[in-house]
Amino acid sequence: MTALNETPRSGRHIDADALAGQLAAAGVGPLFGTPCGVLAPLYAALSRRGSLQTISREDVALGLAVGAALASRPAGVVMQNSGLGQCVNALASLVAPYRVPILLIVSLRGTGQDHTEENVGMGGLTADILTSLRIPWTSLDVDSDWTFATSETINLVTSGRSPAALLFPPEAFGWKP
Amino acid sequence: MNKSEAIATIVSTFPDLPLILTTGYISRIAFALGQRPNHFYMVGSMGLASSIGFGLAASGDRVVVVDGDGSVLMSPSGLLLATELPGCALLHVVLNDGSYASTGGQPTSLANSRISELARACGYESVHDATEGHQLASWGGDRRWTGPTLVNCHVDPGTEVGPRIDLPLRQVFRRTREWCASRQVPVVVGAGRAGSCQPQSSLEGRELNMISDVARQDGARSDEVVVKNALASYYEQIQQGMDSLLGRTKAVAGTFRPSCGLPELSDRLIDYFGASDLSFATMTADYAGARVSLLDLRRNPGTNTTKTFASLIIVARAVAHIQLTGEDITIISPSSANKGTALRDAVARAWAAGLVAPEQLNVVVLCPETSRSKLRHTEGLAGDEQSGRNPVGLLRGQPAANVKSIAQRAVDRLDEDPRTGGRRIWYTLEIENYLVADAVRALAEADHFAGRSTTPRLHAHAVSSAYGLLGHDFGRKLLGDAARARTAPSQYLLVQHPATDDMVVSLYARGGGVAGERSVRPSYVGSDDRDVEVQQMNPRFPLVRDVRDGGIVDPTFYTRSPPTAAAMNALIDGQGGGGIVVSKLECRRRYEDVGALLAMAGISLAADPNHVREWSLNMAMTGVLNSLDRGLTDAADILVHGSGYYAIEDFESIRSIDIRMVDDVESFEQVVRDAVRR
Repeated sequence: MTALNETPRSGRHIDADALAGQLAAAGVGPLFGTPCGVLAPLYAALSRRGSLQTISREDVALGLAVGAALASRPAGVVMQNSGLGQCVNALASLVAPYRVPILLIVSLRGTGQDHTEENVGMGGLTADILTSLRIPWTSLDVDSDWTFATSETINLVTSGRSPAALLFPPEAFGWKP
Repeated sequence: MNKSEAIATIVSTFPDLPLILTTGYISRIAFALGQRPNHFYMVGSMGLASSIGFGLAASGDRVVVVDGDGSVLMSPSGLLLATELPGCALLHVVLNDGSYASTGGQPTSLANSRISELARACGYESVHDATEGHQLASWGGDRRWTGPTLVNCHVDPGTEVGPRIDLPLRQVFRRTREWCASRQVPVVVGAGRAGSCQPQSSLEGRELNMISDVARQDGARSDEVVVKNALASYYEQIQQGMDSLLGRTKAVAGTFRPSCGLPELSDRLIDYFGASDLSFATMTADYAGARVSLLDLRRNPGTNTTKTFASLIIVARAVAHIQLTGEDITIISPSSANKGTALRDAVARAWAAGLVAPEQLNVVVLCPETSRSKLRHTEGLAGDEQSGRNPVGLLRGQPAANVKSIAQRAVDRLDEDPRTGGRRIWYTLEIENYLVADAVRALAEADHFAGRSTTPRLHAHAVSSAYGLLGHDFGRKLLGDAARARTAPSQYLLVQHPATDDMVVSLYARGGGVAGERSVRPSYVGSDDRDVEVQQMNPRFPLVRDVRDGGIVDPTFYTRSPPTAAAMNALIDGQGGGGIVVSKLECRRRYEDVGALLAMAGISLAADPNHVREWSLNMAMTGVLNSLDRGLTDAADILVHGSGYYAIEDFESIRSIDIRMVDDVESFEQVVRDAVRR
């Protein structure tokens, strides 16, 4: 069943259910999120598993994940990269310097085939912000071995070593302009 | 009431709960009152203190957040969490002085007057106003709040403030996380809906708490006991043990060792010993008639091996010497990998805890080149990489065992070498360090996993020299008579592999000389599979082995003919036990079985056995299962000492900046001189 307002999807893309299963199998959780069109299939798959809680604002979700990490739980946060913009200080002054092992699942609106003017600013900044903060990130390409790339990134978090980010270009789950 | 008084009241009212302290003066005032591991100092990210508090509370913890009015107003969306994550047992204290104190006392916005209303509207279960400390204590001190509770505490503006928080922030996070874990005696609760809070009933009576480790929620047994910070917990007995051993043994003439025992226990030392957790758990109540349990000694994520315990003791002794004499120390140790990693980790911990400065204490390790794939990067030393104080030498082109003689000879020459700038050079292989460190196993066992006084317990351990088991026996001697009498009598099972099987051979070949050894070590014949050799002569040796590796599980083991064999043989003769040798092929064939059992103790093995870099735990488990299957033991209670396990996904490899290639004594001496020349 397709929701009326869901963006039509086509072409090859990452299997959102498989990815949700991979996150669950690796023990990532709890997950806190704020919806994003690019990530909608993953958001739905995670919600179906009951492992995702919607939070109104992304930096608040980051704070929650840090609290969960204090309880030794490998938490994750799902957000659009516009929300990453809201989170820059929380990342720069909390997640990165305290080296809190949480997983960021972030879309890359404003890159690739997404030319929407309101998104190209953060699209160009997202990876650079993470790089500057020394938060390891992987951009998942439909054509690459995304399962392997994902597990490497998740391992950084579940082993308690470091925060890490999975970045999803617009086409990752079949989003169309 | 001013802000400092309010904070002092909160700190003293909640010594047993996590406190999330917001940025600015609130964190600094609390810090000046005394840094505590249950205090999370959120020095940046203004506005997010309550979010962190909700996140921790949602994992089942009762939490206190100390916030400011400026912080709440910066991110009022955090108040919505009262509805978004209902039922969290969060006490949210807002110290409301109407000003931004740390930026110069500017007044906060007019919305300040709406904080209590906002909290109610956002779904806080109860909201109070307070002006006096006793009101604070009365709303919080009884621990009866059941959902998010906000206390809008009106304090006078203007207050004294302490120094900035100068702890490394990652240490702040780590300490609070460890503290939160330490108060959790693992009574396992089901993995509820993510983010949802535990019902109130489970929050009552909680010195017991939910275990937080997600991986552990599947199948862990209710008898699991985690002993947090074992070395600090049993420090008095350990000190006594060390003193008694130092009275009995002497340093080899002409070599240095610290003259004193262990330093007095301080908050910093407790923090430093924080990596010494251990745990007990039953894996199966009945495997071929035996209850098989695990003593997990590899819980320090910086090492994943039991070498953590002895290394923490060694470095603590060095600290005591430095503090007493003002002399600087360089620790030198040969290692097949794990001891080197653990010593480096312990030195990093001593720095981080503020026990010594980097220039006062360093460590130089010499490993065989074959150990490289097991060596790991030590995060705590990362800031010091450029100084080259803590290199790892890799010996190339020589037998692995030569690391011992080369390190020893270098130490003999360097201690008097003026080019080491008067530092003391310590070669740390004295047995007392290992005996007292491993004594905690028996001390913790007697308190937390005593078994039955009438049923002997077989302690199984993958060994080279069996220091761990001798340490366990030493620990039993440190127990009082009463404690020893109510604990299961101990027997010992030595598990070895073909490259270093001397202790098992020694146990069964006594009196027979070389001929005896030959009769113990079986000969192998080919099989249908051309890569597999088999034997049926001696069930204490591998029945199958791969011809390509000769059965060797880990080529980095190098200890042959250990001097401890006689003592171990006497223990087994007197108390019972035995020995078994396992091959890599046997460990691989048992990998799934062993993984299923370990999962019961909360350990998940790598999916791919080719990723395993430390096989000790698998060796011990394989030895136990083979012994039971082959009827070699009739023990009803078996405790496997989990001395080491890790796979490539568990660690970051050592960085090349820390590596020095070594060819001989001279080149190793040069490595040490370079490391101490500043």
